[in-house]
Amino acid sequence: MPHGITEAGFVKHAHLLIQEWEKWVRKKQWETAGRVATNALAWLNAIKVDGVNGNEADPCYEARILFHGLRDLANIARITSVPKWDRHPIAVEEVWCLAIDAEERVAATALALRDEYREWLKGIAAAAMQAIIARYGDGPYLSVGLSAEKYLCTVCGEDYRGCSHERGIWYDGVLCRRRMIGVKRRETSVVDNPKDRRCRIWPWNTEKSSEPGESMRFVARCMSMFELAGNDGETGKVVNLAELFSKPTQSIRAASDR
Amino acid sequence: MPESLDIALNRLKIKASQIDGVDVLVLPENVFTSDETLFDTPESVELAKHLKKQGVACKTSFDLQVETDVLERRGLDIWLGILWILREAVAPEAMEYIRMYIRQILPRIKSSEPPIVHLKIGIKRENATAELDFKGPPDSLDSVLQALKCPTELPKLGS
Repeated sequence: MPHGITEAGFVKHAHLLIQEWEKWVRKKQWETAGRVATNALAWLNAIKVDGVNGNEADPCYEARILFHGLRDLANIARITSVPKWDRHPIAVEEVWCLAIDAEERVAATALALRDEYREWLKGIAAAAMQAIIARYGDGPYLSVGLSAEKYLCTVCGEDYRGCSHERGIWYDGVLCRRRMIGVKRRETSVVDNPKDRRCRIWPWNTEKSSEPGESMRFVARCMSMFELAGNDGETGKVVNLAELFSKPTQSIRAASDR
Repeated sequence: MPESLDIALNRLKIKASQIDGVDVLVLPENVFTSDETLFDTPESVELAKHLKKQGVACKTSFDLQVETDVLERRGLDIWLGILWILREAVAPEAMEYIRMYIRQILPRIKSSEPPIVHLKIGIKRENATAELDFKGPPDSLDSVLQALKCPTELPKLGS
């Protein structure tokens, strides 16, 4: 059960944590900076800000977005500090997705971040993506069309099409979102301009096929279950470099036969 | 009753009495195909909500108890489905609200190129209809919607 905290107390402590994160970032101590962010997320999971108008954004939700983003950025900086990281497929895939996550989170948070920091944070993600694009190009991507039998509203539990709630608005402390129920895959395309750039087809996951009627075989992520503020109770983790760089790439045949 | 609207309502088994007093109808984008499942799109669902919020007497196929799924594509295009303006007098404000809706959602689309908007729109008039099947960039749609505020000059497409 989360314990209550005043709004002033929340703001003060959140800013202290941001300053703590900045301190380690200035020293390029990415691992420690990442831990500050995961500890902040653990703290946010244990508290509830008292007296917040239920029809306004929950400050804990916004702070969760920010600290998930700060953890992502610390992880990107940590991975990209390894020489020749961009020649390691697993590291490239990890950095690509982290950079997209971080970009979306830093853009979405309205919490007081100093402007120069916001720009600098965006720069970390953008530089990592540019390094990848310079070496491997931009795309292609896998794009999957999904249909849902129902489109439930997280506020009232009724079909979103028939209720009066609006996506992205808070109602009595609940954020209105659309939840797809009875999902079916309807179409799959290879595109250059996807909605979700996490679903990238990487060169090392592509091979010419010798099967009759099949010119190419590849494996790629077809969708991501990304949550801006993370899933309930999730703090994420600081990346383990030894583990990441020792991961072998899976053979395409084995992955596509799964 | 305009022919294509008639076909759509027949397919959806919607009776004329069900749309009494309705000014704007938002229909599944594949209503004119032989697809077994009819689809709303997230953008058409949100557009209908936006129109209702602005006070337009708008109904969707879901409101009229037609069984439809929602099709979420993973591309960047904007699929607005089929809109029928059933009362010509509301056309100017409806067009303005559609333009407003597109202006609202555009900043959320992260792409170096403008997305393609897909929209079929029909305006029912006393003795004729104006129908448009649009597929193009938001800027062009904006100009078209601006023109559609006064639809008397528009011929019926395909005629």
